[in-house]
This record gives sequence, C-alpha cells and structure tokens, in this order.
Amino acid sequence: MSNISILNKEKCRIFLLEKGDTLRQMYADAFKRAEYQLITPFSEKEELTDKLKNEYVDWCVLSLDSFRGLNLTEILENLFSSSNNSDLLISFINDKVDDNLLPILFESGIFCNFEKSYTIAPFEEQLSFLLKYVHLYKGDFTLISAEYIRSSLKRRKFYGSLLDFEDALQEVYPGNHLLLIKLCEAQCLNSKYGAAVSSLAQAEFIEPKSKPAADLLRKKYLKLMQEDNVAIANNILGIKDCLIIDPDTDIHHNVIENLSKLGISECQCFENGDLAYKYLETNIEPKLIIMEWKIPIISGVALIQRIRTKLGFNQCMIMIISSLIKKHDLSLLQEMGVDAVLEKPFDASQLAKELIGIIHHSLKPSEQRSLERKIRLFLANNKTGEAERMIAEYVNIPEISNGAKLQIRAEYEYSLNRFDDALNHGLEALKLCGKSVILLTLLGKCFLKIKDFKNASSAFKNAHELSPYNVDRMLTLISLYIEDGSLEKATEILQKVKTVDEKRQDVIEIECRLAIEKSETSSATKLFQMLDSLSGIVGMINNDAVSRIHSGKYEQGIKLYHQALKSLPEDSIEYCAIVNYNLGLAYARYGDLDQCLNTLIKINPPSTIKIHQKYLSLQEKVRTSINNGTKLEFQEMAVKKVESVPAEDKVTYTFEEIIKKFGIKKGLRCCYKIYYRSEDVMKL
Amino acid sequence: MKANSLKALIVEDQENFRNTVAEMLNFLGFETSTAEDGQKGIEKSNSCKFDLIISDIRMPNKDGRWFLNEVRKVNKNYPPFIFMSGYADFAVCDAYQEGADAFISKPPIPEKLEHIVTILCSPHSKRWSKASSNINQKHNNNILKKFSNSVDDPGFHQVIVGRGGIFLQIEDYEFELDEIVSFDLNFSSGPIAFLKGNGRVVWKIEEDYGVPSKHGIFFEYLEPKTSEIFLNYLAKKDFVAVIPNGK
Repeated sequence: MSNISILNKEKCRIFLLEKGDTLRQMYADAFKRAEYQLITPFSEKEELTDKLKNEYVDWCVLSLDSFRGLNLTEILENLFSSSNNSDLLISFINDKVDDNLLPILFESGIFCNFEKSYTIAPFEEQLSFLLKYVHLYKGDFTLISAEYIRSSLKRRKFYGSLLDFEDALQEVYPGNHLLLIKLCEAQCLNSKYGAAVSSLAQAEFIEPKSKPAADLLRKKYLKLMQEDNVAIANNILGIKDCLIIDPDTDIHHNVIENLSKLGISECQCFENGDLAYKYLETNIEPKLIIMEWKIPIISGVALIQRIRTKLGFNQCMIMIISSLIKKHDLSLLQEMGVDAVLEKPFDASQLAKELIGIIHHSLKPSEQRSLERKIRLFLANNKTGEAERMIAEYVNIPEISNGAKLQIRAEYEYSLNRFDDALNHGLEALKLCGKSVILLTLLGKCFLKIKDFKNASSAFKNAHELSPYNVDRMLTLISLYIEDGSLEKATEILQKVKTVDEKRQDVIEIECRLAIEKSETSSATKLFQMLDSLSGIVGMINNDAVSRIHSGKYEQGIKLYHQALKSLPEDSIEYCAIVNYNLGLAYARYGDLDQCLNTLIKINPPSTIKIHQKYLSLQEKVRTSINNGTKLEFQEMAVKKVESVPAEDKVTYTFEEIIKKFGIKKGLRCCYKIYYRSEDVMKL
Repeated sequence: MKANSLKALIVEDQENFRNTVAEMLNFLGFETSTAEDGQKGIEKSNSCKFDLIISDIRMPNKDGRWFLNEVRKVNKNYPPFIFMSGYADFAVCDAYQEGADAFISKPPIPEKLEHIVTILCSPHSKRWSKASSNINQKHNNNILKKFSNSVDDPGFHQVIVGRGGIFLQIEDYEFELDEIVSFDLNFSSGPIAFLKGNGRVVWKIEEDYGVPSKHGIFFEYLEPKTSEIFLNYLAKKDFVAVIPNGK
C-alpha cells in the first residue's frame, strides 16, 4: 500500500497528541517549520478519538506516554476503525527506541516511529529523514517501515530474524531487485552462501543495473563461490520442468520462451483441464504449474483441488495467470494451494518477478509451509504417529508464531477425535491470528462434532466468505442449511458449487438431497440416475432422517423417507428396499407397529439382495409383538465414546465474540504481513 | 449498448477466441467480420470500412503490431483499434503510442469489453461527456497542478497529450494500474490552457526509487470546457498516439 498524502503539506491534516504543554508546542512547531499547515494538537487521547470520528485526518502522531498500561492493539484498532480515512497513518513518539517494542508496534500497523526529544532539532531531523523515505519509496509504507525494522535488527545483530524478514518481503514484493540485494546480504550474514548467489543472479536478471551492488556483495562475502555463480546464472530458479495449462496457445509459446531464459527447459502444454489432469495422473509431480483460471472441461478451481487432494501433489508450485482473478485474491486462494497470481495481460518482466517470488516463498528456510503441508498430509492419511513427530519438530521452530502452532495442535487433536481439545486450541489460535480459512473450517468441523450447529454454521459461513470456492466446505454448508430448513440459502450455494465442479459425485448427491427436501421429485429422480452409486446418498438420507427423529422432529424424518421413496428410480430395487426398511424401522422404534408392518409389506425384496433377511426378521418380530401385545425391544447401537477434557477445563464457546473481536486482519496495514513475529497482546 | 449498423473486424488466429469475441460483439449489436492473421486483416480493412478493429498480437504471417501500423498508415485515428492478448508481446505503453486505443486481456471479460467499446465507438463530441462515478477521494488521486509551460513545449515531459489520454510523470504523484485519477492541470500558455476531468491508469512504468513513475492515463471524462478545447486541438493536430509513451 502506498500513501503520499503526507507530502502534500498544504492539505495533510495532522492530529498531534502529547500531554506536556511544552513538548506539544515544540512538536507542532517542528511540523509547522516543515511547512505543514493543518495541525491540531491534543493533550487528551479521548478528545482526539472523539474528533477522529467526525473529521477526515491523514496522519495521527501520538506520544506513547498517553498510552502507558493500555492494550495498544486495541487502541490502534479502535483508532483505525474510528477514522473515516481508510488510509489513516499513525506514528508514535517513543521515550527511547526500544528494539523489542519496535517490531511489535510496526506489526500493529504504525507507520513510523519518532524518538522522543526535548529540543526541536533532533525531532526535525527525524521528520526530514521520514519525509525523505516517503519520497524515495513513493509513499509505500511497507518499505518505509521496513527501513526502521531492518536497521533495528541489524543493530541488535539479530541476523536470523533479519533473514526471515527479508525473505518475507519477497512474498510482498516478488522479484524486487533492490530487496533481492538486501536478501542476499541477510543470507550471507547467515552463511547461506548458495542461496545468496541465487538471489544476486535473480536481482541481475530482473535489473541488469543491479550489477555494481551485486558485485560489492560478491567481493565482500562470495569470493569462493565463482563456479556456482556461473551454474546458477544459467538456471536462476533452480527448477527444470513446468506444466502450462491455458486454452490460448499464444500463452504456451510466450511462457515457454520466457521460462527457457530462466533455465526451465521441460514444458508440457495443455489446452484444457481434462488433458492436464490425465497427464498428471500418470506422471510424477511437476515442480511448477502455470495455469489459466478459466479452462475448458474441468474448471481451474476443480483442477487445483484435484491436484492437491486427489493426486496429493503438495510440493508443486501453482501460479494462476488470468484476467478474472486479481492479485489481491491470492490470500483467498492460498487455502486451496495457489502460490501466486499474475493478471493478464502480463509481460516477461512480471512473469519473471512472480516466479522468483514464488521460489522464495516456497523454499523459505523456516520450512513452515512445507512442514504444515506434510503434517496435514499425514493427518489426512491417519498417520498420526508420523504427524506427531513432525509437530514436535514444528513447535520447536522459534520463528513460527504461537498462533500457527496452536492451530496445528488443534488439527492434530481433531484427527484423534478429541474435539473439545481441538476447539480449545483452535479458539486460542483464532484470538492470536485472526480469521483464516483453514482455522475456521477446522472450528466448524469441531462444532459439528459436538453438535453445536449454530456455531458450526457461523464458522463455515465465515470461512466461505474468505474463500468462496472450496467445494467440500460449500457441501457442508448446504447440509447445514438443509438441516436448518434454510432451503433458499442452500440452493444459492448449490448454484455456486455447480459453477465450480458440477460433475463431482458428491455435488450431484447434495443436489439430489436438496431436491428431495424441496419435494422436487422428478428432478431428484433424474439426479439419482446420474449417480454412479446410490449408497452415499441413501446413507445421507438415512442419517438425516434418523437425526431428525432423534431430535424430536419425528414427522420430518418420516416425511424425508417418503420423499426419498417417491424419488428413487423404479429400477433401483435394492435401495428402495433399504429406504423402505429404514422407514419401517422408524415406525417400529416409535411404537407404530401397524404402520411398520404396512410399510414392510409394500415392498417384497427378492431373496437375492442382502436386506431380504432383515425384512423377514423385522416382520416376524413386529407380528409377534402385535399378537402378544408387547413392546418391541431394540438393541441400541453402540456409540463410540469420545474422549474429552475434564469438565472444569472445558472452554466456554464464545466463538461469535472472538470472531467479532479478533476477526479484523491486522495485516491489512503496514508491516504486520511481513513481520508476523510476535502475537502477544501488547502491554506497555 | 446498441451498435446497430456498426461494423467490427476481428483478427485472431485461434478459431475459438475469434468466435467468442465475434459472439460478444454481435451481442452488442455489431456486424462482424473475421480474419486469421495480420495480412488478411489489412486486406479486409482496406476493402471495407470498419468502425472497430479487435486484434490479437501473436499471429502467423503478419502479427498484430504490423497490422496496427498498416491500419494507422491509412488513417491515423480511425477506426478505434483494440489489442487483445493474454501476454504483452510488446510494451502496452508502445501499443498506445503506435495508435492502439485499448489493450484488453484474452479472453476478454464481457463487461470490460462493453465498457471500452462504448467509449471508443461514441462520437468524439460525446465520448468524454459521462462522469465516472467511482472516483477516489484521496488527496493524491486528485492532481491539482499549475505548470509554467505549454503542453507543446518540446522540453516539457511531465504531461504529454495524446488523442485519447495523457502521459504523466509528476513528482510525488503515484497511482496504481486501473485506478481512476481526477486531474485539474493548468498550463501557462499554448493551445490547451487547462485539462480538467478524470481518467484510468492503463499503464504504469516504475522507475528507480525516488524517481516518479510514468503513467498512461486514458481519458474517461472531460469537463465540458476542456472537452471543447481538446476537440479543437485534436482537429488541428491529427496524430497517431492515443497516449504518448514519453520516450
């Protein structure tokens, strides 16, 4: 984000907060001497906050003295949300530069930090330093605040953190040649000379004018790496193969041309999703996939989900090139495994920059992402032992935030069916990290398991808003809406699912389920006929009906069976018999033995199908009961006992409150996105 | 929009895209003709008067850039010419410099295509009369500047006027691609005393840090007086560049 409004000194409105009269006057004078004309001084923060709600302000300069003992995160959020300027800038005036506090302040969204001074000259000097950087970086306040953080980390010799920081900057500014030079220096300071050579080669590829700066670093740190310099310059991304999927064959030619300059020589091109998927099914995982979002036959979304889940390809990097998807949609697409987005029309330089960014992003030294993917893969395959070992490694990495660790722990607990523990960890993670799609989905699943449908629905809805293309979650939401009786909402989401992947069997199943619920018999029949197997949908109907009957909605449960029977195709004798048997069983469980018998007599399943014996047995039991006037006894199904935490440790599920309070992503401002080191709630 | 009786030529070597764009334009009321490459495109455009041309860039025989230059040799500003490509084979700023009126992605987004075609196919007198609704109110999206130059001064490089927009490189003004910018520029002398209106940033070239970026701003609205002055200026000038590239 950039904002150069503070360079427009005639128009820039400044609110200045300082308790001390003399200091307040001095700061105001410094701004006036710098030719600012619209400065409003305040001595009390309440007064400033009130005014902020009604007036358009560009910049708040606040003395930290006014906030001692208070929660700064909340204060900053409050200031940001009170202002009617979405680009409000906030700076602090600090007693002295506290190197521990500084990153935390930047994480919370401040723009710059002034050191408190008692004479005007040092303050003026800092102001002119800031204005110089605002001008130099053209108002890009991430880069401006990065200057403060970088110098603080270097001053303290925190080289590990410096490297993480420079690495993370590449995610925000992929392929930026100046930042690649800074990254190289951080890599050298951490003795990562091989990576440093690559970074320099990448910087020079993007901007040949980087050579003098690159040569300086080579001289200083990389004298012994001359051979590597040559090898890496020929293949600066370090990968050899790529899959290109785009209906536009011009894109194939252009991308291949550009990739070859970057050293990628093996490219497979496909014009539609189906051909690409068939190729991937029978070949090893490629290193990189570059694809259009709108592709024929299998949609882009569906193809990515199949690549990541069905094929289990979790290492390959996926870049979307499209005019439909915008770069700012990336955060929403990351959940499904998209690593970069490039808007069409793009040029050679943009493609190279994004590819360099994607390489740094995916091969980050902290290994956080790759570890997370591996843990999730183990959990998905029920390999909890392996997952546990990897989690032990994960939690010991100091650079990974506590929020991320709690989230992984929650996912692990969920896989062991310890839903209360999973919720505990998940809600804590939500407090620390704010909303993320994976976390909300996990919380939704936990709430479902403990049958808290209201919170489950809310969690899934929140996740759906963040990432509206996840088929699995949309299907769960539809089920919840059907359960809730909100059929219009269910229909609305179904339409969206169908635009993503209407051929998936579970999509047809849910459409069929919804048609039954809406008593649209002929549509339901057609949908039944489109399914490869009816066992899934028949199971779903039975579960729903049983759950309704158990929760006191007997009539609704019975109605569901009847609707299903009306809709099932006549030739699916076995499934008709199953649903009919379950209907009979439902009558019997609730003491309506005559109805049960009538129902069972209606269908006489042939002896060749499995349920035949059950029919005979239930009929026999019911007849005996009717004749003897006795109650029919049922052997209750054993319910798997779920381990749970002791009652006193149970959480109070204040999910909605947490969502409201912590839902705002701090990262929308300033350096938080790139310097997510600490998540502790700040207190001075 | 309804473009009854307007004729459009679509030049594209890939049949599926050619048909898609033809369908979109038919829907907008155009009568469409197609050609498979630049060579066939120029043959068609020389044999029949078109009101709009949409062309791919990379094509066999003669490419889109060659085709544009041939079209502009015949007529410097008519018909409106739109490039359609997923990849910028040559710089977007050069496309506008050489007389392309727009550069859209392939496949085009129907709404965007309709928006741009509506502007380009309106008569000059009406083209810039409709004010944009979504103007950003940020200070730095409103350029208010007085220059002690004429737009025609050869040494003046901060604002250069084209027949559909302006090149802009002004200290401390940074805009993002696709942003709507409102401008109120005054010049001390010359054929255009002031330029007031708003436009869309259609290309941006980032310069080194500390050096202002170059922007190509495509006019979307001109305040009536500006429109009158500008149309007079255009009538006398007869030049190719829609937005100069500043080189």
